[in-house]
Amino acid sequence: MQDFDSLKNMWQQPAKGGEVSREILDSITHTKTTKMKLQKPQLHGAIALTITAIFIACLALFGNLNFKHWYTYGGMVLICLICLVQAGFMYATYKKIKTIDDTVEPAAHLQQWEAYYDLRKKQNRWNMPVYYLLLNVAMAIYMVEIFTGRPVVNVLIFIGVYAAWMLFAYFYLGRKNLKKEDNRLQTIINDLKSIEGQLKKSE
Amino acid sequence: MNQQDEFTRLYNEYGEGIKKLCLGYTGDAVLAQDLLQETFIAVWNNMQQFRADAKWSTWIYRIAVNTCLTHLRKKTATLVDIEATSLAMLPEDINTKEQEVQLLYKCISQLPETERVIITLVLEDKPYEEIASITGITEANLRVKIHRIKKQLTQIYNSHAGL
Repeated sequence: MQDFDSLKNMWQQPAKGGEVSREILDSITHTKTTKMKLQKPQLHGAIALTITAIFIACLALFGNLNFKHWYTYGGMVLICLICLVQAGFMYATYKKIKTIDDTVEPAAHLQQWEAYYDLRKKQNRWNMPVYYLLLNVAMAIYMVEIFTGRPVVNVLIFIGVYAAWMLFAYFYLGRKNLKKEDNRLQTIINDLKSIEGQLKKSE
Repeated sequence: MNQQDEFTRLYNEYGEGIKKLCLGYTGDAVLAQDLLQETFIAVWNNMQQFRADAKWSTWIYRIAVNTCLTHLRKKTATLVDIEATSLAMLPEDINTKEQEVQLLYKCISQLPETERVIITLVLEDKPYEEIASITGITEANLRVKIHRIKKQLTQIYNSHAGL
């Protein structure tokens, strides 16, 4: 029968392989933490969307497109704006993760992560559907002039295939993924809340 | 002393203790190594913010505790009822010292998350005042909690060790 002091003596033996390796010292510059892994796609997404918006704007301004109707340019402007707003959202998410302070007390640290996952959950529910809906509206406005004068059958086939894919992507794939992602985020939030609860119980 | 030298000193001084904390928290050597690495990357990234009025030890252990507590993992059963836990997951023969230590890590990893952290700091012989500062729990509450966790851990260990 071991008592706690025996366990303490056992614990205080040097850990197996516990010798200080240079591995961490050498790898800190190129190893990614969980936080960095979450930050990266947000920042890259924001940059990619900004570049896309700039590219479309340049195309509209200097591309000699010679569209006849103002609303075609309007569609392009709308696409640029939607991309920029979405880039703004992604950048805000990136900043939210970046500002999580790893040095504060555990309860405050857990709350910061809870707030982040809560934001992700909200974004999944309204940001992505609204983003895709607005982008499709803008695309539709842009396409009006492109389709004008084309054979009706070709236009109908294009619209049919496009609409079918969007409906399938949104109502089947999108909802399935949303549910899965929603459950995953809720599990994480519950886990964090449970640990936070353990800390609060101590108070 | 530049940042690299300071970091090396900190790693040499606290690396082993943090590794044990991570081992106790996860009960898994690979995961513990990941958490150790994450902790020291966070230390490197936040070193500029360190204020001289705090202790390096408290500051680093708090980062390690935060890294462990927010580590997202597959759910493992929390052991409260010793009888309900399968002994199959534990080493068959705990005769050697190393196996005893491994068993101790496994037993700690079966406690609720915050209790793992607290008992690990106790085993590291951290003063109660410092444990309170690391975890943000008041000293008075810690004393009560630690007394209970010590009893629980000893009970779990002895049950698994078959003594």
